[in-house]
Amino acid sequence: MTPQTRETDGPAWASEQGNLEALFKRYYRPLVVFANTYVHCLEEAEDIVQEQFVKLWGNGNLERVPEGALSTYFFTVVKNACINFLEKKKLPFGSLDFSHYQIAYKEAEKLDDETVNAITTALKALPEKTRQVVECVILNERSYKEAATELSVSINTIKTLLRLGLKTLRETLQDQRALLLFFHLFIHPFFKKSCFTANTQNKQ
Amino acid sequence: MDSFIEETIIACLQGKSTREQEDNLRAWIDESEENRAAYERFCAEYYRLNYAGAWREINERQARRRIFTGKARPSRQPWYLSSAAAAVLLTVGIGWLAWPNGARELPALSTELVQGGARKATLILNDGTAVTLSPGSVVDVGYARAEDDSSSGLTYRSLEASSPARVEYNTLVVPRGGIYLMTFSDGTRAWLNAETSVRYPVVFEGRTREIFMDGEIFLEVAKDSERPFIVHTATTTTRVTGTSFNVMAYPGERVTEITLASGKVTVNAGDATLALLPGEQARVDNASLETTKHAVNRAYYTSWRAGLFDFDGMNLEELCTRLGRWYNVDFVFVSPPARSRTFTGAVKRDNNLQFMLDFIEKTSNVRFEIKGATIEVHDL
Repeated sequence: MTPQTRETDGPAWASEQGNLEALFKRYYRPLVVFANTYVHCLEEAEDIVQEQFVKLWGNGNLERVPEGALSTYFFTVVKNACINFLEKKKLPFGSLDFSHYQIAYKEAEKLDDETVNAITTALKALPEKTRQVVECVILNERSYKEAATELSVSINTIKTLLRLGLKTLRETLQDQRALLLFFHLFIHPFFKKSCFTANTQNKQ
Repeated sequence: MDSFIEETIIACLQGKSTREQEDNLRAWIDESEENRAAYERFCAEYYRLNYAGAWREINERQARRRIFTGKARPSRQPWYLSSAAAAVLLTVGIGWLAWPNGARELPALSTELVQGGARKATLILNDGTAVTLSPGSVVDVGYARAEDDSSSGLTYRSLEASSPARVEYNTLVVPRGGIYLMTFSDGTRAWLNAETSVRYPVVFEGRTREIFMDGEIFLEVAKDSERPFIVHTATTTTRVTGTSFNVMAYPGERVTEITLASGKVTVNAGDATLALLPGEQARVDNASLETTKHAVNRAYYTSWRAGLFDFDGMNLEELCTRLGRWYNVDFVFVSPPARSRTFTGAVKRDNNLQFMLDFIEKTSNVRFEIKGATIEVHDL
C-alpha cells in the first residue's frame, strides 16, 4: 500500500494525518497537565493547548523545529501561552523563578498511560480516608483548610493523613518501578523480538 | 521536612501563595542542599499525582475535533456563528487549513530554540533573477554552471573553452543568521559570514580576478601569479596572488579590517598602500580612510570560519552586533554603560542563543532580558 500524500502547509514529516495524529497522541495530554500547573483550570489548560496545536499546524513553524527539539519547543510554546493568558486575565501566578516549573515540565514530559495506570492503582489501594485527603489536596488542589472543611476533619488530620498517604504511595510505586524495570530489561525485549519475527513472517 | 514547609510548598504549587510564603520557601530552599533536594522530590511527587488525576479527565476527542477539523468548542461560540463559519469553510472548500493562525500574537522569542547561522543564501543572477539556494541546487548561468555541493559550497565551473562575448556577474547574498561557502571558477574558496554579499563574474576572464563585497568573508585564494586576485570593499582594495585572509567590511561599522592568515597581500585605501605579513592586520577608518597596521592574534579574526566566536577584549556593543548577525536577533542597550564593557573568551558558534547569553551573563556584569523579539541589555 502506498502512503497517501497530501499537500498541506505542514512540515514534510508531519504532512500526513497519521503523523499529526502521532504528535497529538504523544504530546496533547502531557501539555495539558503541564499547562494546568500554571492556570489551575483544566478546561482553560485544554483550550490553551488546543489553540497552540491549531496554530502550529497552520503556520508552518513546526517545519523549522529540528525533530530532536520538538518536545522542548512544544512545552516552551505552551508555557509562554500560559503566562500570556495569566497576564491578560490579570491572574496571579506567583514567582516563575521557582524550579518547580522545571520539575513540572520534566514530569509532564515523561508521563504516559502506563505510569498513570500505576499511580491510579496505587491511589485506589490507599485506606479510604487517606485516599480522600490525598485526592482533595493534590488532585483537586485544595488548601489544607479547604480540605479540612470539605472532609469535616481537623487540619492536623489532613497533615497527618497526607504524609502517611504520600509515604505509602512512594513505597508502592517504588516496588512497582522495580517490577517495571525488570519487565523492560528482561521480558519486554523478548516480546519485542517475537513481535518482530511475527511481522516479518506476515510480510513474506 | 516539617508540615509547615509542606503546606507552604503546596500553596506555591497551587498558585495560592502569598509573597511572604514565597520568601519563606525561598529562604528555606537556600538553607541547605538537603532542603533543596527535599523540595524538588516533593514537587515531583505532587505533580505526578496531580497529573495522574487530570490525565483521565482530559477530553481528547473534543480536542481532536477542534485541532483536526477546525471546529471550535461549541461552548465558546454561539451555534449560529460556528455553523456560519462551517458553511463558509464548506463553500470555499479549504477545510482546516483556513483556521486563523498568524493573526494572533506569536509566542515570545524563546532563546533556547534560537540557533545561529544556518546554511542559507540567495543567488542573484545577471538579469536580476533571485534563486534561493538549497543543497543540490544547479543553476545554469549562460556559459558556466553553478552547482551547490555539500563539500565545496556553491561551485562555479566554466562550460565553454573559449571566452564569452560578455562578462556575466552573479551576486551571492547571505542573510542575517546565515553562513555560506562558495568556490569561484578559479578554485578560490570563500566563507561568507552572516549578512554578507559578494558580486563576482561567473568566470574570471582577463588579467585579474576581481570581486566586490560587503560584510565578512574569509578567502583562500587559489595560486595564480599571472592573475592577481582583487577584493574590493567600499573603502579598500586588497590585492593578492595566492593566500588566505579575512576581510571584514560591514556597512555601518567604523572600520574595515583585513587580516592576513598566510601568504602576502597589499591593501589599498585612499592614498595609502600597506603590505601585510601573516598575523598582521590593516585597519581602515571608513570615514577618514586613515589606515593603520597592527600585529594581531589571527585566530581572533579568522576562527569564525571554524565555528568559533573568539573575543579578545571585545566591547559588548560590538559583540552584540555580531551575535545579532549570527542569530538574527536585535539587541537594545537599556543601560548605556554596558556598551563599553569588555568581554574575552571563545565560544562555539553552534551553541544556541540562550547558552551564549548565559555565558556572557556569567562572565561579565550585565543582564539580558527578552522582550518580544528583542533582547535588552542591562547593567547589573
